[in-house]
Amino acid sequence: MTQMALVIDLNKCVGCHACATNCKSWNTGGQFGPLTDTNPYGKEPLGVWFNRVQTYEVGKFPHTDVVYFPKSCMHCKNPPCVEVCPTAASYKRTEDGVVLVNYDDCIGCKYCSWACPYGCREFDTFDGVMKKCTLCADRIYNENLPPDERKPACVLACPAKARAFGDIDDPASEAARWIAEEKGFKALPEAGTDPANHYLPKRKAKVMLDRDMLTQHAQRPVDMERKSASAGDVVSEDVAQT
Amino acid sequence: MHPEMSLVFLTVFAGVGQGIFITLVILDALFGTTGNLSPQFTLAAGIISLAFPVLGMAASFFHLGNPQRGWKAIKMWKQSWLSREVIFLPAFLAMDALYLFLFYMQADGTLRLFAGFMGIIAAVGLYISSAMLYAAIRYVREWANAFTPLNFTLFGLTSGTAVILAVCQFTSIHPRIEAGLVNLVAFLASFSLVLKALAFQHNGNIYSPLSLKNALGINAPHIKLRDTGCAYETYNTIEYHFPMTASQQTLHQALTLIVAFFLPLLVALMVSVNPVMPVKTPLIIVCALLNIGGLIIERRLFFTQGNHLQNLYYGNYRITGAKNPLASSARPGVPVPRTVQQE
Repeated sequence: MTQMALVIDLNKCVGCHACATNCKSWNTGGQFGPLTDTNPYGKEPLGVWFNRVQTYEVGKFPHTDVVYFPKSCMHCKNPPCVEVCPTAASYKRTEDGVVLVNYDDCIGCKYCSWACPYGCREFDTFDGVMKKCTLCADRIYNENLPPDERKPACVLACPAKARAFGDIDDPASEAARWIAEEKGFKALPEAGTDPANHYLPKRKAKVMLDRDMLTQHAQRPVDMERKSASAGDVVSEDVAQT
Repeated sequence: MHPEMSLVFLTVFAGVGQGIFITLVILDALFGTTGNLSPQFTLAAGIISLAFPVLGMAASFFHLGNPQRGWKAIKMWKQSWLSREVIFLPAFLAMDALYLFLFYMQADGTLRLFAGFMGIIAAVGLYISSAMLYAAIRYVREWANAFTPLNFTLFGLTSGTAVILAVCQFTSIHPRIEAGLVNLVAFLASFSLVLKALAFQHNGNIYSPLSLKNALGINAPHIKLRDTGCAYETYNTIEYHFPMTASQQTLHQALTLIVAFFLPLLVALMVSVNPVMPVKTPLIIVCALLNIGGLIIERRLFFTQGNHLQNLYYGNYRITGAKNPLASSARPGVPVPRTVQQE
């Protein structure tokens, strides 16, 4: 079974909301838009977003850590929202496992949003239908886009490269490799929905540089200055200390 | 959960109509042929039993984003309780109307009773499906329990019988049947009172072991929401959460028990003891109105008490239960979104 999903590295996420804004930007103009906003520039802005980032503080001061938690539809393998839909407007696509809403069949009863333990569906009061993350179904197979851009908008926007997209059931995909290598986990597994989106845990940061790159680089300025210092030239004090 | 008044009116009014119809058909089956029920009584009760669910159905359309294609909701009857509700409601209305039509045309009694019993089946189906719709949401623990279907059915029957009793005051019915109805109202109201009190107690003691630890998958003892990521509110903070302090909740619970069940019970007992009291008619009408009004409070509270699991992510998850180890670290009262606090 193919199951497309996002894998989000909580260790890399810097909480910049670029994924959320690019998601809104693409989807409000894409096939699944518009995502209605009411009072967007006023005091009490409300609107439909597929992706939102929450910020949490973990631990007690001063031993705290900040976790940015981007949350969009988990595209569960056992989606309770699909089960309760009275019109079959909510469905899980068999070919890639994406959970979608058919706006032409949705009657806007909000029942699916109640059935979702993650709160990842948002009701569009203007259109009167339920809207949700489509995993950019209008991008990922879009032949009008260059092949390397056939990815969800959030993945393309992430400046920290904290998001991977792919078939998590295919061990060769980038998403599945991220999960396997960094012990990817599911949010709220207790809900029993078997979410497809995974998160990578906070972990000790690794320096992804080759040791030789740091020590043996012929053009390293520090080394060059040190060489000239040993040769008897006048150098500034702090450089000499290194 | 945010209380949607359209759903409050749908469930309460449809429940009243079903209750009236079930009581009416049972009375008809027991006493219809003996001449103890006047035709005016059957006709008036029948029309009211039709009017209430029609009102409820009209209210339900305000809940839908696209009511013009509401009929599509019959499609998934095999798996969705909402779909079953959408089938049972018109089925009940049709059987109710058919029963009334056959009575008005003075058709064969057996045929009429057959329509009546089919109507009862639809009414019971509607009680169960409209309650199971909520009870099937397993992420709202206040809804997903046996009290929900029991309460929906019992409260509907109580209010239906109370309205039937009020109809009796304007049409002629055998005094012994009326006395029996008074006792039935007293019994149902006391039963409802006990059941709702137990349901409130159950809701207060719900212990959910889930916390932000589970929601985020981060195993750390202290996790706090710092930013919801939005300038004002979101669908998540509005739809799934209704700010209510503990004292407001207690007040609503007391109001529900007193107005919906205790006062009607008191009236029924008074009339039962003294069936020829001078202010009987207005008292009985007040009894029915109090019951229905109380049920509206009850149903609204049913929604607001619903504590959806997704509230964990937004710091709105209400921690209840005396035994709950998380209860001590909970913020007092119901937390309000941070952005609102700042203003």
